[in-house]
Amino acid sequence: MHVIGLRTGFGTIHQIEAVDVQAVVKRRKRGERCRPRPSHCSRPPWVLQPASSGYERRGLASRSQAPTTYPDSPDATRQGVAGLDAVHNCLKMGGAVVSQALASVLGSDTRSNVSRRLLFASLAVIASLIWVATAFASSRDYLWNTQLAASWGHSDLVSHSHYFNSIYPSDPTAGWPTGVFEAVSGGSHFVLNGNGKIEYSHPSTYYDQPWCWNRDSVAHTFSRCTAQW
Amino acid sequence: MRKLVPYALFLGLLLIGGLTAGSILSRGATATSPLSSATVGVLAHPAQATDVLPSSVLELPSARQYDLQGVRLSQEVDGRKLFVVPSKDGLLCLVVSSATESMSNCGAPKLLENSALYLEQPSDNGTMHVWGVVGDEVTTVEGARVIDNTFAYQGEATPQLHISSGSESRVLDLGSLDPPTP
Repeated sequence: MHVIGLRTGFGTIHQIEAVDVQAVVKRRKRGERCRPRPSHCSRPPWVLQPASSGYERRGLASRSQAPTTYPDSPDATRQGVAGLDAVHNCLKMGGAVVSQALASVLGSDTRSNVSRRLLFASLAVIASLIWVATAFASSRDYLWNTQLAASWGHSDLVSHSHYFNSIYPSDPTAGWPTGVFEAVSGGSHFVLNGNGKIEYSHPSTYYDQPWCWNRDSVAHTFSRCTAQW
Repeated sequence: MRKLVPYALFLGLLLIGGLTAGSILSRGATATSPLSSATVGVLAHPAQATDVLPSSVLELPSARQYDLQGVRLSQEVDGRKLFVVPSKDGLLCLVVSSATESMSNCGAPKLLENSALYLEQPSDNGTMHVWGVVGDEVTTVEGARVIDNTFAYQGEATPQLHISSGSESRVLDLGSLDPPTP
């Protein structure tokens, strides 16, 4: 059961399972019994002991990556098998949990069908809320903690009938030459320059893009440029 | 041994002379006295009924940081009011307000020691407006009168303005004025 759940979602873990089956078959041929579940089973499978990591890496790499280390001695191989057992047991436990969770949500009975519909409905509501918030927003930060090169402007190239534009240097006390303007293909307008935190509120005349710019001859970091429409 | 004494004296004098000259030169190099103190006298004026920011200015995001008790109307020129506004976060703001537009620039008061806090706006006819706040000692700004710590320049577009205080003079570099082509 848990193998099916893992196979549907996690291809890589499925590969580990396949390698582990081979190891178990080898052990059974040698007449060994399965080891009890190690105490560190609660750790995630990628948190491994150093002694076993080489083998497990090899196991993982056997299908998906080039092998990185190959322990030569039989001791190392035994340690690797022990580590693989740990992974196997961990996967058993984790797989069961994941399978139960998946079955409860995506099962084939009536209750799970209702759950699935609820899931999709809630996803649709979240998506529509995001869309509405974006479509009807009237303010946005079009620059955030960004370094602007010397004499370089920035815009998100989104046009609106803006009535406000601003630029906030990361250090407003430094007196860097700063500026804001708005632009369409016909040219720029609502240009305002200064040497600090500039805010400019004006009539919303043009359907245009907001720009903020570093007017200095060296690059500076700006914490924010904001436009409203 | 006696022959060496004059040489030693000469070298000693040379060393003392060099040190003295170096000291004087280094003092001269760092002796750029500030143009003005960073104090803005208009802020100490008693509050008047006109020292109130228009509602359009109060809608600016920075207005939350303004110390509204400290707002002072400095001058009114060409339909624009120039306010000097201290900010709660230690900055000094120049607010320019007209019937249709509100602008503000906030920076460190320390800027006024050798420069000005300014706003610059190009006009369609090739001229430009520059509004600024200067320290108490600044008496003139090229082509503009200083009234209660502010000036309003309107004239030919220029990359710099000269501001002076007594015998001291500085260049107020307005930087690049033409926006980059989108």
